[in-house]
Amino acid sequence: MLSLNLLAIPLLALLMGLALSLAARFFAKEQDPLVDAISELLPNGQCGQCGFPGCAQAAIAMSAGELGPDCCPPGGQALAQQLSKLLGVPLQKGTSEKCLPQVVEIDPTLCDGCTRCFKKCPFDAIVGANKQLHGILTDICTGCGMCVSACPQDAITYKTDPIFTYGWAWPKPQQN
Amino acid sequence: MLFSHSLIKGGVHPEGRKQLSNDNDIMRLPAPKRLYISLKQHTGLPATAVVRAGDKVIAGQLIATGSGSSANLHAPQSGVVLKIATHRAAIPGGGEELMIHMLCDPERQNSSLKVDNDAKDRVALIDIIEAAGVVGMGGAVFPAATKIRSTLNKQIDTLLINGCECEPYLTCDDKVMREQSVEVIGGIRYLLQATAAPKAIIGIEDNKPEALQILTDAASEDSNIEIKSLPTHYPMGSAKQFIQALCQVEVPKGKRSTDVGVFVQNVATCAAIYNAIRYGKPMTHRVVTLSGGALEKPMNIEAPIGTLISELVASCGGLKGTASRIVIGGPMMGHTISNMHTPIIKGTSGILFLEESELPQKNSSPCVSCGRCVSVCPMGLLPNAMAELVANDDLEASSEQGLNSCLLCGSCAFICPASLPLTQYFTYAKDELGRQRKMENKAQLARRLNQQRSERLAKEATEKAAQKAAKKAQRGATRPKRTPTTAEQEI
Repeated sequence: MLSLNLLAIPLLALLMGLALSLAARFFAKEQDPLVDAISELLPNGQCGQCGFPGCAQAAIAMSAGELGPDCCPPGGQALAQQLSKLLGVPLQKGTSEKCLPQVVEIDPTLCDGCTRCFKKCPFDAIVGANKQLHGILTDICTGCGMCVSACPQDAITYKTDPIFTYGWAWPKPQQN
Repeated sequence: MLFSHSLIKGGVHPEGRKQLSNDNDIMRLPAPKRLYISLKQHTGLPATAVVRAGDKVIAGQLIATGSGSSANLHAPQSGVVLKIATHRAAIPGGGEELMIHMLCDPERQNSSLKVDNDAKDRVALIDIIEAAGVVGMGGAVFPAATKIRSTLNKQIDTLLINGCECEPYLTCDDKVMREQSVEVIGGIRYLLQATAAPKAIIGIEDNKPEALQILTDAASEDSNIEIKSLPTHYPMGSAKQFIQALCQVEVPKGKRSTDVGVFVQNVATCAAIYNAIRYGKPMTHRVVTLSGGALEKPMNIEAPIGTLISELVASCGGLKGTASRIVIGGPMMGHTISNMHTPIIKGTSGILFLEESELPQKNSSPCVSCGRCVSVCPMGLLPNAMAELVANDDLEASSEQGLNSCLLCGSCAFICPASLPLTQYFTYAKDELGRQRKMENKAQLARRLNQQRSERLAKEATEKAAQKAAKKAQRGATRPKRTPTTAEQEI
């Protein structure tokens, strides 16, 4: 009697798994090639800033026209332009210039080396070890913000990507 | 002659205004107290400092090493390194750069590079030029050694030495040719060796008759160095136009001058190469033109790299009027700065203090489609169409129109009767496209790292599961058979 009780759960799991795998094989729906093309471009950070739980869902929403090409903050202007070209949806003027791509930085006086951000980063853009000060690799960071919410010390803040602040930047001439 | 048979396509004829600064001899600046030597003298990666705060350095000592697109930096004066920190730089937009702050001592012992004066080997010569931190002084600030090294596996037929100085106001190259002709010709001889070119041609615009005469005399014994007079025609000094004027060869789009068998170098760079190889002197000083209507005594100054512009102005007798605009470089291609408390770098050819009367008309009006910009564009582009596309944020399309071929020479903006800021559109578009490219590369990198991470995590998970299973199996096998306890035995 006891052995039957113990077996019930694994058996049930096995049956359900079988049923699911069969269903996946026989009722498989062909993926929209447009969705694949969009997924190919998205950063795949699963940060959820677009309002969807992951990049795959965002790609589906985008192909259905529910989501604009400029919805992905980590991808920034470059991605928005690629997507707008792919989708044939023009970018709204003015929206792109106001919000420059962001990266994060760690306040060294607050970080206590808990490694929570380090584990969360989808791009391996954080270096650090237990009880050691962590650092952000700005060249990789997409500003997805997964680490910001993970940090118990509130030590992580956003700043504009140095690509846009460092060096010789010429402004666009004003039209009169 | 100019209009009937022009050597280069397009171009304009701005007023020279060179007589402002080309009368006086080059002034040697007395040692300034403080120097701010920028680690970023050019586009690309900055040099790496090899000194620390508190270090004592002597004049000519290596203080930062370059790699690839950056060159070595040496201390222009003896002194102490105060700190390595950011300081306001003379760059567009007025940002800050990392600089070596130095406090100079009056004592001036020199350290020079160890050089083999009789070096005949091409590679050895290039190594000396590299160690001395010589960069192209015509404006690009690209390390001379890197450029010369690219000729090692190419056949160079002609060495072209650029003494055009086609920008108005600037006279530093003119003065170098007139006062340091021995160094210039000596440097050309070394360059002929280093590039293995059979002959050299020095091209000088005909508004510099003294320089033409002096260099012709100085090179009278060299059969393989020829001096040619070129008509005064902006932008004659631009490498592609210069090659076209002297060799009648057009450098194809996307190719370099070395691909068509010519190698271009600026006259001041030749003098620096001579000083490096002959005397082991690293590049620590340069001749800068200070000119403009607002300056009391316009002149050329040989100043240490890292001298503040404010100190240079003070040694020129200060300002006599209101400088409505301070320009770094020439008036055609230079950029404005708003702060004089910024240091000069190896590429600073001139600093202009322009009065209101010297400035172009400010207000622009809509394009009248006159097509003058098209006829003056030396690269045969359509500046009006390109600017229109940039104004409408269609950078891709303007790039297809040939934005990358644009020299940013400013001829189109100079001639435009509507005073449209054409060059500004192109500089903006080039910068913006560059940033977009960087962002695209970054996104690609992020994607790749994300993929690698998920693969790694999956691998770790399976490994962990396998380990767990193995442990479990082991535990199951080695677990001792349950022996009855004494209590049970008793029952």
